[in-house]
Amino acid sequence: MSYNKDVRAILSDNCFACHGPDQETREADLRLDLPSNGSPTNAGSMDRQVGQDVIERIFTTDPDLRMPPASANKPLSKRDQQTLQRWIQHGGKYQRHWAFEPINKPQPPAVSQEKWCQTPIDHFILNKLQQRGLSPAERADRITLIRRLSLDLIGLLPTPDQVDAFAADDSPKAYDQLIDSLLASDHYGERWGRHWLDQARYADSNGYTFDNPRTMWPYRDWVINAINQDMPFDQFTVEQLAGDLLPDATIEQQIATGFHRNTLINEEGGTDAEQFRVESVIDRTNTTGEVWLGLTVGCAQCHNHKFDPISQQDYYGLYAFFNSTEDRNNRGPEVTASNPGQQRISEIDRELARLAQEAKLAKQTAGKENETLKWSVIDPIRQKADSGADFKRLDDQSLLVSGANAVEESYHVTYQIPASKIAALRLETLEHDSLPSNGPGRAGNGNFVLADVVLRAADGTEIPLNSFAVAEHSQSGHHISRAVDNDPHTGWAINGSQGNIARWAHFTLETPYQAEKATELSLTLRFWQGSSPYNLGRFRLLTAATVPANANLTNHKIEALKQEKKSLESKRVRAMVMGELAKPRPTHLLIRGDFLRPGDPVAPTLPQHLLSSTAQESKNRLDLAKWIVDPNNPLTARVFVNRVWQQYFGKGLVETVEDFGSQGTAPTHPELLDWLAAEFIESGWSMKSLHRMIVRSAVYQQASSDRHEVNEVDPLNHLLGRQNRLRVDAEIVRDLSLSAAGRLTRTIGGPSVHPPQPAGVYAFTQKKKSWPTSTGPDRYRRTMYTFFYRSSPHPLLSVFDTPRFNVTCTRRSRSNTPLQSLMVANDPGLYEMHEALADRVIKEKTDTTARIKHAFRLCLCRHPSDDEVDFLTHFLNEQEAQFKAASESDSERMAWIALSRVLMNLDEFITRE
Amino acid sequence: MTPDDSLTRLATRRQLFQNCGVGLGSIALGHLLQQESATAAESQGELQVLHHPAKAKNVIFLFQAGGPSQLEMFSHKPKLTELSGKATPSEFIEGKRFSFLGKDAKLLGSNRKFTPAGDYGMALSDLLPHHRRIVDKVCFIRSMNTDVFNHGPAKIFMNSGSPQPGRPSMGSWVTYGIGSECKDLPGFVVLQSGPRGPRAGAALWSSGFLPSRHQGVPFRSTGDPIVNLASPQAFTGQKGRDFYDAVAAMNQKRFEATGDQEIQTRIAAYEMAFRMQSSAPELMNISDETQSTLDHYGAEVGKASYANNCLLARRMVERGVRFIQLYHTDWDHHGGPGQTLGKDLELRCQQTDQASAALIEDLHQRGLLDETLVIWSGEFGRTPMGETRNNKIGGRDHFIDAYTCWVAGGGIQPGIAYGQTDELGLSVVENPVHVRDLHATLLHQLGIDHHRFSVKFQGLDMRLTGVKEAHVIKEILA
Repeated sequence: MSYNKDVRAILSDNCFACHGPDQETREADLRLDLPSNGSPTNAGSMDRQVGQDVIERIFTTDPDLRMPPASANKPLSKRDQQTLQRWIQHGGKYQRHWAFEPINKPQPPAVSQEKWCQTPIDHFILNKLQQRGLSPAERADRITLIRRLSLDLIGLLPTPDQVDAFAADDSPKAYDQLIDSLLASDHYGERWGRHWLDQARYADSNGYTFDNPRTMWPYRDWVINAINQDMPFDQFTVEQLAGDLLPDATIEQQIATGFHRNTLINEEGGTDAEQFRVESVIDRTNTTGEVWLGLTVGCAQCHNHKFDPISQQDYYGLYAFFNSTEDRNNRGPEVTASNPGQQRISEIDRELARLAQEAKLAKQTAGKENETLKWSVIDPIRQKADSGADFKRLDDQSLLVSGANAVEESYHVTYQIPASKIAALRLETLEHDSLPSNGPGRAGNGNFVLADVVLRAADGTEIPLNSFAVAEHSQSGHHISRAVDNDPHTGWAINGSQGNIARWAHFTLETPYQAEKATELSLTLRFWQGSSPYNLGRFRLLTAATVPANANLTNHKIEALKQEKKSLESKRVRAMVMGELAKPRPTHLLIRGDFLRPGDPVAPTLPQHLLSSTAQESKNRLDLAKWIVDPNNPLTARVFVNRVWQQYFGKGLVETVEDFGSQGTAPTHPELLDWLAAEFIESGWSMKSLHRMIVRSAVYQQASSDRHEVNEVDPLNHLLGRQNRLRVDAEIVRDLSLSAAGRLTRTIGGPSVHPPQPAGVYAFTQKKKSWPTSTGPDRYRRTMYTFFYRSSPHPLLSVFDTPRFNVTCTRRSRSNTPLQSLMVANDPGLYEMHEALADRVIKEKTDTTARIKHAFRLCLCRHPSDDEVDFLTHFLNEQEAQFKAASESDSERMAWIALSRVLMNLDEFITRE
Repeated sequence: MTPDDSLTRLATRRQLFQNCGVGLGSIALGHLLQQESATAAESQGELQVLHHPAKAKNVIFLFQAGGPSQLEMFSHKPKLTELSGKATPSEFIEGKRFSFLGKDAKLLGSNRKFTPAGDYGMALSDLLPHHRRIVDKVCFIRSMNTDVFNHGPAKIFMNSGSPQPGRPSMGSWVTYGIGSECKDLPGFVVLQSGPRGPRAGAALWSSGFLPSRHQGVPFRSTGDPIVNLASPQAFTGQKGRDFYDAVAAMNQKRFEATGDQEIQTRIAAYEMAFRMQSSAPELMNISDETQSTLDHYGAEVGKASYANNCLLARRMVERGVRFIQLYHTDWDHHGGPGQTLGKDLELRCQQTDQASAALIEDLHQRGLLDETLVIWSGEFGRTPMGETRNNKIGGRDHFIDAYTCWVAGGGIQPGIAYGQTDELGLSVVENPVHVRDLHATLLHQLGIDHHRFSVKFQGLDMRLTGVKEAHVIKEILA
């Protein structure tokens, strides 16, 4: 009779809610979760008298006294009653909850069938099987093994050639060599990085209502690279939780802290930034608890944990570590992750420094000229608009336009000028009551778009203007220089924060024009906005004999370089990272978790009393991170190896991978769990070593077919008397299609991409998302690179159980639904792969049977049985006949597409067997 | 077998599989013929036995997204009109939080005309001429309150009982608990009308930590109702059926080799997918309704509208869809352009008033109202104080303390108004109803005790009604 094995679950389920750690709900001042004189860290016994009372109260027939009370609706079974009675009678000895006990590396048990064992893991498994009178399953065949290993380690299919080579290799080392080559592949980092990104709740958008895009992919790249380099898990942890606090933190170490910037941001109007800051701190606390400690600390956000010894005080002690970061809802620190234009920016900086000198000189010499700068208004004498609009000359020699108003419009105005030198023109655009919104333009809001300006002499020859110009104000995207760029579809417009008001623009002549006597000049102003009339409503023209300082060439060059620099800088990739406030933000316990009800102040405190690890000073996230990966911390390694195990067998040794507390399930193989955890730490926290250890085991290599004798004893296959067939994750469903069809683009990392998705995905979101469907190689990238909008993920991902990543996910569900069937059968993006597979086999093989076998093996690796070949041949012929009958032009190809489509829809195709 | 031979057999696909001599066909097709068992996995709920006899079988939730103004529609407050423009009593403003209002917000009366309707004289405004006909069939709850005042979190709260995304929505809880009676359609369907989708998107019908087959399936009003419903163009008709048969036969073969029951579930899933290809378009095609029915709702064939969606909701109830949720967006009347309490609110009412009323009447006429619980609600209501936008007071801010919703059918007492607010509509003075209480009541009518309906997640017993106390609103039950 053991407390941990037999008793705790009964007490926890039935008693702790009222007689447990939470003092607010504690009844009769009685605690049954601890030894009567004890603490969570030491073992002791139930007080004799308490024990007698407990027995009395659970057996009494008096409904008023009986425990648990009728109101709990959860009567104790006879068996549980007897277990409790026996335990109390034997002294009521408590044990500390198994997960909080130090990890002691157990000896692998001796077994009788030692030959079967490939690794120490197998001793633990076999021992339990034998105790239940079971023997392990036979080893899976080699083809199943290579497909299994490839799917598990890199998430892609082996080619038929790779399959054949492995199947034919008799060397005892062949299997190990295969493991090594897969672990060395960069796709390994993608496959296992994706699993980690689930836990990091990685997404490419902010969540909540607007759900705008964010740049998180540098963090994703960091994860993939770190896993590929086999960064030790302790370092992997410290850099993600507190990379910014490491001495001389590198850019990469800062990018790693993106882990906790994956929290949601609410961009809705009228939000309280503090509320959402607190929510992200809570999420960071809970995620850290779940991912590294396997503890549901979130329960203690509002009240003391009802089942585990985590008080609300402990919770906010943990919370305090995350409460001093700089980010606040939609604002937060960023670093430049990459800067493709850096070289050019350096060049520009050098050039700008030189031009600044030049401008200074020019200013000194131009000083005099500027003093002489004088604008003279010139007089319009004839004017005409292409549309036939009317002009009225006003007293200030400006022209006011009315009447016709065309989408494509040009004004041709002839001016009388005296004998003079002209070096510059000044166009003044003016307001007037008669114009919409007072002008100066004739568009509804008073704007205009001046597309081109052309100046001509009296004889009609063009007087060229410089291709740079200066305006008092230019609307963003409509800089004044666009009026002299010879492009009729770009132009100058003036909307801005002050609205549309009177403005001026200066143009300069390539060479000054010398009028020896009075003459005429004509000016053409062309307007174009594209869809509606954006013409000028009132304007006048002035000339000057000198060039205004603000329009000289040097200044223009400086301006152009600054623009170029700005646009290059906008291409910098800025990654969201963590940053710590210089002065820590005080933390208060939040009463019932409400951020408006702060309670007592709380300092950052580690939940030390949970664990017997060494006490150390702890003030910030770095201290917390180091405590998490302290080899004496009994949770971290157990929790991590358990999740890796889960990926290989479908279930963790502790099935509740997220809860190692007393409400979680007990480990099926506690000694194995401890052995793996100890081994993991001893290996220097090497994730690759852990993977190698597991996949080398005999238990991993078993066949997955159902076994009658196992079902009888162990229907849920907890003892692993066979492998499990597992449907692959959503991303891999598509990756398999890409790789079978030979279309996969193998590029690792980089910004997210937009593979095809069915129309109408955004009918149900607040904002239509931009989805510029990728063409070229990006269309066929691995699915983990698909842009992830939290409010509307790609439908393939949501129907195949990819979570929405609003919170951390340590285990995905694995459903099997009609919507999945429709997706694989009909999705246009996957249908492209059905076609591509058909084209591939037509190209690569000639006769029908060879093609069928090839298609089959590209998808399923194994050789089809004769039955299957027959069946598929008949199917193919029938389909072709139907297409022929329907006068389909390419009936042969269509039949192959039909066949490919069947293969890619098979359960076996998307299953790791 | 020549192609010609096989062509003659197209009508009897079964033979193909049997004649191939591969022994694939008999079991697979035998299985496919047993539609009952094929869909068992889909339609069964987790609760083996209901906690108590159910009053309702189905739920239609008419979600008016954005927060409709109770003060312009249902809640007649002459005193508020009298004090319009006056300062808000300070004891009310203290400690309250709003999205946009400052502490100096002034009271704003409604200039709508309210007249009594129904046998008991419920005051309804001129915005709702059609609602007048259903006053005696529905129960107005005038004392609703909720916890959160931003749209996204509040919508998620109304759906899942938590303001953060990640918990299962009502529809998911219900289909998880009691399954669905519909063999050819999903058990939880979402429809949408209005200028855009609701804020927070798919989080609103997420299945959270429940199996994802319980998530709401959005049906679009144009094109394929379900994403990827239609077969690729070249594979419709007989070739469509052939595809499903071939996949089933090959899967069955693999089942025989591996014994994995999951393959049987996959075979069933493909078969239901095939059936949905005809049942979903058939459902969406309202041209088989009589003209008088279409007119009653204001529905038009081929148009996307709230009216069409109300009619579709009735058709889904007829087909056994368990939980139907309609979203109509843009009820967010702060006063700015497109958000006025004048013409913009009028437009919203014109788009919804007639069809909401018609749905109740139509369900009633067809004898379906008794077993269908209909809920009309927003995520919150609007403040008795006016909000200033563009220097004009023309709107109201979000309000969580007192607003109105209505419920009908499914064992709810018709023809009553429940709960009362003070004369300014600032707070509930009688029979407050929290969103949790609405959730508890909804489950109760379906035969589920919200206390006992929990799922273990992250160490906690999770419930739709959360950890705070929730009460079934006994007083409004028939």
